[in-house]
Amino acid sequence: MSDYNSTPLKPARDIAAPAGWRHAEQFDPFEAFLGPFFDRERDGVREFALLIDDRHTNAQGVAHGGALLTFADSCLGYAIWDATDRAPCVTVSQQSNFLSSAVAGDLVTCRPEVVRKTREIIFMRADFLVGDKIVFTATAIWKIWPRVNA
Amino acid sequence: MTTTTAPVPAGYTAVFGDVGFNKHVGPIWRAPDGSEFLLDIRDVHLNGGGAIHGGMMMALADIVMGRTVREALEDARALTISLNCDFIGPAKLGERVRGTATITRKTRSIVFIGCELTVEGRTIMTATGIWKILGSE
Repeated sequence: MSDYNSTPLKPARDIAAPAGWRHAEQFDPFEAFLGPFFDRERDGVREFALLIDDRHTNAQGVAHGGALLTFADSCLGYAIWDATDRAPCVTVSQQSNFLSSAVAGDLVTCRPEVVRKTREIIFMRADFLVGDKIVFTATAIWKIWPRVNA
Repeated sequence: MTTTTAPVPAGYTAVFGDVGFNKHVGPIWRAPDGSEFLLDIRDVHLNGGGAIHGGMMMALADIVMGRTVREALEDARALTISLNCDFIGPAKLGERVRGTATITRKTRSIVFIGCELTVEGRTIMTATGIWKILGSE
């Protein structure tokens, strides 16, 4: 876990950040492959956004579950890094509900929440919105490896 | 580390491989009888630690179950409404992930299904899902 990539990767596509957002640094090749992802600070919490494009949709033109699941896993991982000074961590379980659909051109936003943090386990949740509409919710359990000198 | 994989068996076809997310992350191969699906892990599928990204694992489980549901429904379409994914173990570049799915129960409007992803017999993910059958109001 100690050799996790710490060099920001270039997103697979050059897409300008929407107003008020900036490019989130990406460290996972699969996230850069679907990226860029965007982030911003709101009330002390880092929020995230994904602009849905043709790499993220299914044959019906709506956001593919796989793209939203990946974005969710990424957002929760970022939030855990922010809460732990980048402790090594892995997803143990993710529960995902698909409430409605997003389409190409939609900006899917997320404000991840640490529900409870123990020494080795973190309980997370997040809603994913297009405007005011919830399209997707996720809860997750992650395992962290506390730093020896923390 | 093994970075090459055996050829995909004859007759396997790419799942919705011509469009969108499935084209971008695929190919994901389906056995002719639908009994299993294969993904060969490429560099784009990895996380920063060199293992397959959790999102790609969940995406694969979603695709394996979604395609299995679709085949059980013949003409009707269905949408994922819920997915529970447990991350049992990692997999690395060049490994071949095998996905299988079994329908637990199919009602008039809902399909309950489970899925397992394995690498050479080692389980890396177990998942369950609920699909809503469209037009079944």
